[in-house]
Order: sequence, then structure tokens, then C-alpha cells
Amino acid sequence: MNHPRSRLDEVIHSPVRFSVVAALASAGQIEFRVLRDLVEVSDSVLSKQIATLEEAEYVGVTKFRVGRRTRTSLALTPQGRKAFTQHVQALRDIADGVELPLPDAD
Amino acid sequence: MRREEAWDALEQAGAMDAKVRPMGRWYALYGIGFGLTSMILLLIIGISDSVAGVVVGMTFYAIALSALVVYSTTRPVKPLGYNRLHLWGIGVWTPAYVTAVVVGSILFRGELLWWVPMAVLSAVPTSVVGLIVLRRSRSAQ
Repeated sequence: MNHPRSRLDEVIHSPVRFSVVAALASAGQIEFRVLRDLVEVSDSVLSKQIATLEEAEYVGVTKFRVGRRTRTSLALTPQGRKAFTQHVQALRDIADGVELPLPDAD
Repeated sequence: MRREEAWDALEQAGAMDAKVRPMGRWYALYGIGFGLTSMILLLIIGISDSVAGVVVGMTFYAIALSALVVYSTTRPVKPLGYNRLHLWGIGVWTPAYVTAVVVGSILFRGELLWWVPMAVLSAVPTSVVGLIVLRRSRSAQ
């Protein structure tokens, strides 16, 4: 498979997860409530997408207390950052109409 | 996926980057605030050259540092590279501060020529980190 579409990451490809990962790629950590507002989805939708990203080990979740409140902070793991970089490169290649050369016959 | 869809996705990622990066700018205020706090503390300790000066300086420092810690822990977005940059800032500030206090209290008590430059020097590391974060918050992905 030489078309860049074969390099798209299936986990990141979903529109909501792509937005989540794009937001996290631009920061060190983002709190859940802020990420929810950025991506413009409900708490439950975001929780579900985060669970998928966590399962793929692309996102790390940290819970901590500030006063009486428990806050949830999210960050991309090194694997998640690498996967996003590769996914974006594949998108750029698709957008530019680039195709990888076929491997030599020998 | 078609080319147009790829362009749309890239634009979406760019728009998200433009929204998120400025949210980490608060660290510039934190870094410069930390640097100024350290500078004022060293000036009070060095110029006063007295126990009362140390007490006043440490009281000011405790209040200012508490405010900075509360400010930083309540920010919902940590800037890109936060851990590394923060550790670098504090890691460079610590020996500068310790040198200023230890060497100054033994060899340069009450000498402005030691305390003023060292106070300014102690403000540099975290302020530089703050300015780096500010600059990064303006650059595109």
C-alpha cells in the first residue's frame, strides 16, 4: 500500500478524537472541562472518546484535588504525540497529492 | 479520504492549535512573577542586613509564593513542554539563589555591589522560561 491514506491512524481518524488529540498536541495538559468546551461535545461523549484514546495508550489521565474539587487533567503520551505527528503528515501528503514510490522489484 | 477532506482536517487542527496555545500564556506571568519575587526577597535580605530584614523578606516571599502556587495550580491548561521548561527554570534558579544567599551572607553582608546584581540574576531563569512560553504561544504548529 503506497497511498498515504494507509498511514492514517484509525484511532485518531474519528472526527471527535482527531479534535481531542489536536487540542492535546498543542498543550502540555488540558483539564477535562476545558477540553470538552474546545471540542464542543458533552461530558459523556468526551469520556467515551478519552477511554478509547487511553486504551490505545495515546492519552494519559491524571486526577487531582484543588480544594474540595477533584479535577481531571489529560495529556498526550509520547506514543500519542508520535501517532498524531504521523497522522498529520499522512493528511498533508493526501492534501498535496503525494504518493510514496513503490518499493524496488529486487 | 479525498484531498479536500484532508485539507479540512488540517485546517481544523490548525484552528485548534490557534485556540489552545494562547491558553498556556499564563506561565509567562508566573515565571516573571516568580523571578521578581526572588529579586525582591534578595534585595530586602541583602540591603537590610538584619534579622528583621530576613523576617520581612521571608514573610513577603511566603505570601507571594503561595499566591503563585495557587495561581499555577488553578490554571486549566499547561503550556506545551511545561514540565521540562519549569524544571529547567527552577533548576537554574536554585543554585543562583543559594549562591547569592550563602556567599553574600558570609562575604558580602550589606554590600549592594553583590546583592543587586545577584538579585537581578536570580530573576532571570524563570523570567526567560516565561518569555519562551509566551513566544511559543504565538507560533503556529
